[in-house]
Amino acid sequence: MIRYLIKNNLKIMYRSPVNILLYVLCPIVISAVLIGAFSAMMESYEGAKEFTVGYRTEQNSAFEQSVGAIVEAGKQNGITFAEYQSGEPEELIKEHKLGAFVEFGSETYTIYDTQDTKTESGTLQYMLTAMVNASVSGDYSKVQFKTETPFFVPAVNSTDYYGIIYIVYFGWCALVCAAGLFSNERKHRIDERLLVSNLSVPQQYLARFIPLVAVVSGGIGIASVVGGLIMGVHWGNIALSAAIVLLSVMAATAMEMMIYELTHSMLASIIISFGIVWVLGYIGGSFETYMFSTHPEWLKQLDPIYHENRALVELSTMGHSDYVASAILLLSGLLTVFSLLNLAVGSIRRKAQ
Amino acid sequence: MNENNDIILRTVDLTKKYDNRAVVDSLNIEIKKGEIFGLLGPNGAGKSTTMNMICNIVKPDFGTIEFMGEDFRKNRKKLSRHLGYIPQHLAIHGSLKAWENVELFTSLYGIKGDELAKRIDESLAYVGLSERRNDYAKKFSGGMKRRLNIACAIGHHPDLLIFDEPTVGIDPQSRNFILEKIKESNKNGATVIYTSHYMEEVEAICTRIAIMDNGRIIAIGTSEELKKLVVDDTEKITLEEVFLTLTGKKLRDQ
Repeated sequence: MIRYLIKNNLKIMYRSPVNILLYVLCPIVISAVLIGAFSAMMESYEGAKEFTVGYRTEQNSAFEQSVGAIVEAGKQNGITFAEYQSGEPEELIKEHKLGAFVEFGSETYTIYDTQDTKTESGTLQYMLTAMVNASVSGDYSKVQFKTETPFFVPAVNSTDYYGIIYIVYFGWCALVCAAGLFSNERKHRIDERLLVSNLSVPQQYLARFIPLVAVVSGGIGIASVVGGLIMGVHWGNIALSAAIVLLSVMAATAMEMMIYELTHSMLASIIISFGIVWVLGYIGGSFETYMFSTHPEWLKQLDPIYHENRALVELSTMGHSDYVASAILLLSGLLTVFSLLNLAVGSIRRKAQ
Repeated sequence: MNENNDIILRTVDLTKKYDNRAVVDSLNIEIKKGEIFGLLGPNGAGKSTTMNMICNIVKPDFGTIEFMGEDFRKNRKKLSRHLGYIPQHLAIHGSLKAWENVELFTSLYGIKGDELAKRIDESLAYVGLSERRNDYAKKFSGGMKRRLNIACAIGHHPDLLIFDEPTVGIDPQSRNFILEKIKESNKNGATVIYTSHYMEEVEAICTRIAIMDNGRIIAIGTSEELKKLVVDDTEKITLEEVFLTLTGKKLRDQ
């Protein structure tokens, strides 16, 4: 019954030039501008691929037997280890232009860095963590990190970062795509005709939700392909990345349709929706990169855009990400909750007519 | 429920209040099968609210609506396909072509595939828009949009057609075309409820007329019967004069 309604709603949205502009051209143009603007800053990441680390090992350290293996693993990964028996770590870093300094204690190790060598120390820590994890059943079983917040910065360049992040961000601005349809329905009281036909609340919801998701996903899908071809944006695991982006478009659509259902004003809904998405994007790395942002970690962990951005960027740079599961879980949760709220508010409105 | 097979729609004590004011006040009307029933009333009389309650757009506070012998509100799913509503406003999508508008609204009644294609052709031909089927509705004139508005409500072959001021703001040719089509639909078996502020239209096409004021029916009958309520010689009075006599000349602000 709603097949034709979905099809025609799809046509209405598809025929709007604003939607083509917003979901195809805008992500490409803004990504291109930011890629250019931040390419120099992001290059410092890539410079972190090869650097020197100073180290010192205490007597009877649990790491004593493994230092040789660590130095060898570092060499294979572009990290040169130089031993310093004496001297203050901070001064040694400055004097010898070290990326970081690590002291292997009895059962722990301590990494020293400076404001300028956060990337190198992060990379070192990642490597040491990998070493410890790999030998967890062996000599390293008692080793604990002294650093409280293990930190890994994937070596991402500005092309991949902004090329991905702005596809995500525009996907979160889904409501604009429906502005023409919803406004026309309201202005010409088309929803009254739907009521006369006895269209149910879930049918009415799906008849708007499905085409809205399809047009936004289609638009940013084209933008992604064009961005990939023109700017060389690299997505890593394309199928998994596409699934995460689609899920986020669905969650954003459900949330923003819910806001419209409550306000029944397109202008108010767009202002509220964009306000929410801007804050989520601000915390989640849409403007300044999440690697360099100073927002508290707990706040970022609450933000679905942070989980999504991080999952997609890590999929691009490393081919895998621990954030994939949390991103899918959060986005699915939002989709379910807001869809149910949409249906509940729609039903209450019908009863209150 | 309904013992009289000649009655297609009956309202029993139909009531709707807004801010404790009864906009429709215990309304009891019976619409017979095959008639063109005119509903007249000044602004704020309760006509649109009555139409909206019949059409499921507004829920009544009290009373029942019997449609085709059954409680309409309880059997809405089954009965809604027998009702066609032509609203006063142009409830069409400008960015859809004429045939797509008809497809959208006709499909809501479960019609699909070849049958749907046939109904689209039929509805557009009925309102004289076959030649313009592939044009976007936003490019249509006011009269053409009105006709498309009608086409969108008849594709599912309803037994009862509700026209809410369908000739507002259009030229005499389009108005005449629409009135002829209403009469044709009626001849083909559809019952019609028709509201308008144009008395001559109502007099010309309606078999029975009700005058509504302050949420109640204050007079009902044929045009002749209504005139006789005011004067004996019906030749000397128009329906408009009857209307003004019964509802008063005081301006109504909604």
